[in-house]
Amino acid sequence: MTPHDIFLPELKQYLHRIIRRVDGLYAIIVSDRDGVPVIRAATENVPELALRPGFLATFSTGTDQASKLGLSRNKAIVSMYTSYQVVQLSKLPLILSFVASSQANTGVLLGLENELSDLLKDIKAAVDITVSQ
Amino acid sequence: MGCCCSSEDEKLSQDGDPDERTRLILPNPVSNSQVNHSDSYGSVPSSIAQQADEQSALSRILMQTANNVIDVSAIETHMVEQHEYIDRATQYSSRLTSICHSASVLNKLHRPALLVDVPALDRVLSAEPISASDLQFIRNTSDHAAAAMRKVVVTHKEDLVVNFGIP
Repeated sequence: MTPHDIFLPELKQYLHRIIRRVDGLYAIIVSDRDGVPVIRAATENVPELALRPGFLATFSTGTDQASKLGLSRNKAIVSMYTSYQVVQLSKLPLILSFVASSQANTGVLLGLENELSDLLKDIKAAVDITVSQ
Repeated sequence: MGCCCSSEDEKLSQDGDPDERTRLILPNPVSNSQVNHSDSYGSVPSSIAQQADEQSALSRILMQTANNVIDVSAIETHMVEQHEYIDRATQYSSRLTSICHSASVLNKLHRPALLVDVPALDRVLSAEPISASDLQFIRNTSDHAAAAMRKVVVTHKEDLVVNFGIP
């Protein structure tokens, strides 16, 4: 059992409610730029490799480079695979990642950003304080 | 016949308009002062300061260019070690536990419902209703608003479909 499972039941329940509501969504992960998870909720259908920090941290590199393409700041990257899709949003210093089935509605996943934005502000405050310590 | 170096040329250049004698590169007043005072003791720190300024400007330009260059292969990937991963994860969860108990976060977690529990039900139901004048005012205002909304009309002024440059 990881520290996340012990300490944050209400937050995880909230994220699990969202997962149950969106068809095909397997996991919601809030992590820092290095991929270290701050809070995550996942079902058994999610591939374990998609939850690793090494995989989630590739978004940091991708969004930094994508911001240099002359199209202003990169906000989100959608990675489509044969069986899965990974939608990652830049909420610096946090990364919001959704792992879902390739058949899931990508627009709905992108729309979850608004729903989670208030909560992310509070989580961001916690991460900022931790980083500054 | 006039000479090539007539005073008239000087007058034109003094007006400020560029001519064939206008310098393309303006002389650096600092370097000129250095040439004039090259033998003096005070010129050494100013030349060092100028070199330092140039150096910092060059390094700033270099940094800006490096930031703008896209080079995926040159990116250093910082792999998080296992102990660092566990330490950070524990830190985050302990901080989140403290914010989880705050009322504002709990309110955001619980979705707002249309039906809200009213604690003192009998007191609410037995309270006096609004006055008849207030009720009439509300009705009149809503009637006026509904009439105004019905009067909103779309005026057709231009064609909806426009042809672009079809010969």
